[in-house]
Amino acid sequence: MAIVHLIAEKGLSERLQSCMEGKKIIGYRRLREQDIEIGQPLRHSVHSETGALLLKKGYVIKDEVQRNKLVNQKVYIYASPDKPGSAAYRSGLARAQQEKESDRLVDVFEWVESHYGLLAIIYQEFARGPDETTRAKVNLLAERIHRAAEKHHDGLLAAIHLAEGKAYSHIKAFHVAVLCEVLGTRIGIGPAQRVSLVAAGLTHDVGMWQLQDELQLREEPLTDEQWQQIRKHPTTTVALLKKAGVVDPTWLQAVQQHHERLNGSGYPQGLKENQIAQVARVLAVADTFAAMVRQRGDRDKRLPKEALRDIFLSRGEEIDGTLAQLFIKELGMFPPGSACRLVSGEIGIAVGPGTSAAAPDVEVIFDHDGQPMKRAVLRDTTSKGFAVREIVPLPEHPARQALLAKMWDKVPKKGRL
Amino acid sequence: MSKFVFDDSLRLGITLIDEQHSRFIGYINDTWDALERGDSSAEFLPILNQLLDYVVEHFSCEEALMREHGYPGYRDHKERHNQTAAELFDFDLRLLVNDREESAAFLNFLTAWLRNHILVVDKELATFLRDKGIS
Ligand SMILES: [Fe+2]
Ligand SMILES: [Fe+2]
Repeated sequence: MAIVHLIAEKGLSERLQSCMEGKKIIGYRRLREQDIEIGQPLRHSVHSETGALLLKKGYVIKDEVQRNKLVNQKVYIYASPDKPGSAAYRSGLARAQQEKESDRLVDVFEWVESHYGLLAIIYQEFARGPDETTRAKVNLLAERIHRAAEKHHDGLLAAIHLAEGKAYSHIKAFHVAVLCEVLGTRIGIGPAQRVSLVAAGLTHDVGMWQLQDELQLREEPLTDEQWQQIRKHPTTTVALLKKAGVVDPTWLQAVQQHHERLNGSGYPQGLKENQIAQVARVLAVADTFAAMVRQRGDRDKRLPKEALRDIFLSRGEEIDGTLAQLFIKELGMFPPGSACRLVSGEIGIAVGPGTSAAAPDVEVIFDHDGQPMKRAVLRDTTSKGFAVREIVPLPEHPARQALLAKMWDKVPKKGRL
Repeated sequence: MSKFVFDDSLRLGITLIDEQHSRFIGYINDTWDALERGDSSAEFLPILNQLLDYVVEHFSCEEALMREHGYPGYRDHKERHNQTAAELFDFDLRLLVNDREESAAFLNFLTAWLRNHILVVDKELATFLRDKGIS
C-alpha cells in the first residue's frame, strides 16, 4: 500500500499516520525543490514532520535562500502522486534517474577538489565585483558542505588537511567552513542557521583574500597600510557580501564579528562577552585553528596539539571557554588526515576518532621497517602496542593516493544523503 | 610508590568534582600498575594520550562551576589551571617511550600535582560551593 510505503520511508509520526489514514490521503511526501517556483504562490500547503501546518497554499516564496531552507528542513506536502504511465510520471522518473546519475559517488579528495574549484570561482568573482550569482554559488557550496559533512566530516577534514598546492586563503576558508559545521552541530545550532554559518566560514575574509595570499610570502613586518586593511577587513567583507545581495543576518553578523574577542581585545569594534554572537564565536575558534595549522610567510605551521594548546589557554579571555573545550574534544590532538607514527613503528593516517578523539583510528601504510605496504591496515590506537607516538610528515608511497582514497567512504557529489 | 587511594581525606563533598578526581586517580593508578608490572612504557602511552583530553575537560568543568556561582577566586584558580595545562601540553610524551625512569618521574609529578590540586586549590573552591548549599 502506498501509504504504508511512504510512512515507512519518511518515518512520520504516529499522529500523522492516523491523520493520513483517516483521510485516505495517498501522496504525502517530502517537499522537493521543483515543487516551489520562486515568486509564485505555493501549489500545496507545507507541513512539518509532525503534521503541523507551516505554510499555507498560496504563500509566495521570495528567494532561493528561503526555498533552500524549506527544502532542507524535513517538510512535507500533500500531493496526489502522478499516475504511472502519464507524461508527468515519466518525466519524474527521468528526472529522478538523472539526479541519481549526476549525483554519483566520488572519493573525498575528488569531492574537495571539485568544490575547491567552485570556491576559486567564487573568490575570483568577489575580486572582480560580486553579484547575485556569486551569492547563489556560495549558498550552493554551503549547502553541499552542510549535507556532505553530516556523514563525511572526517573524510572532508582529512582531504582538506592533505590537500597540496592550494591558495592559503581558499583552502583555509574551506577548512573553516567544515569546522563551523562540525562545531555548530556539536553545540546544537539548527540546520538552517548552520548553513548560514558555513556560508560565513567560506566568505569571512573575502574582503582581503588577495592581501592574505600576498602576505603568505612576506617575511617583513606589516606596513601601516596593510595593518589598517587587516583591522578593517570584517567590515570590508560585510560590505562586499551586501553587494552580492547577502541579507541573511546570521551570515553577516558572523563575518562582522569574527575577530571580536570576549575580553574586548578584538576588532573592529572591540565588542565584549555577550555582545558577540554565538555564531561569530564559533567562526572565531574555527578560524584561529585553521590559520595556526597552516604555514604563513612569517611563521611555520604548527601541530594541532600546539594550536589547541593556545586555544585552550585563551579560553574565557579571547575564545569562548565552552567552545574551546568542545572543539578540543571533537578534534583531538590527531585530527583526521594527520600522519602518525605508532609505538609499533608503523606509520599511517588518522582516519577519525576511535573510542575518542584522543585515540584516533589509524590506517597504517608503512610497516615497522618503513616499507610501504600494499594494503592499509586499520589500527585501534587504544590497544597495546599501537598507541600514537607522534605526528610525522607523510613519506612518499608509490600507491599513496589510491590507498588514501579508500580510507573514507565515498561522498555523493552533490552531498545528497 | 604507594598506591594513590581516593579516600575521605580527598573527598571534597561536591559530587561532580569528586567523581572526576576519583577517575583521575584511578587513571594514574592504572598507569602505575602498568609500570610496575613491567609493561613496556610504550604500552601505557594510550592512557597518557588521553591525559590532555581529561585535563581539559576537568578544568573546563570546574571553571564553569566557578563562573556559575560567582566564585571570587576564579582568576587565581584559572591561572593555576593554565600553568598546569601549559606544562602538560608542552610535555613531550615521546620521552616516556621505552624510558621507565622518565615515566616514573612523570607519574610522580602527576601524583604530587593532583594531591596539591585537590587538597589546596580545589578545597577552597569546595568550601565556597558548600557554603552556597551545593553538593
Ligand atoms: Fe578574518
Ligand atoms: Fe580539580
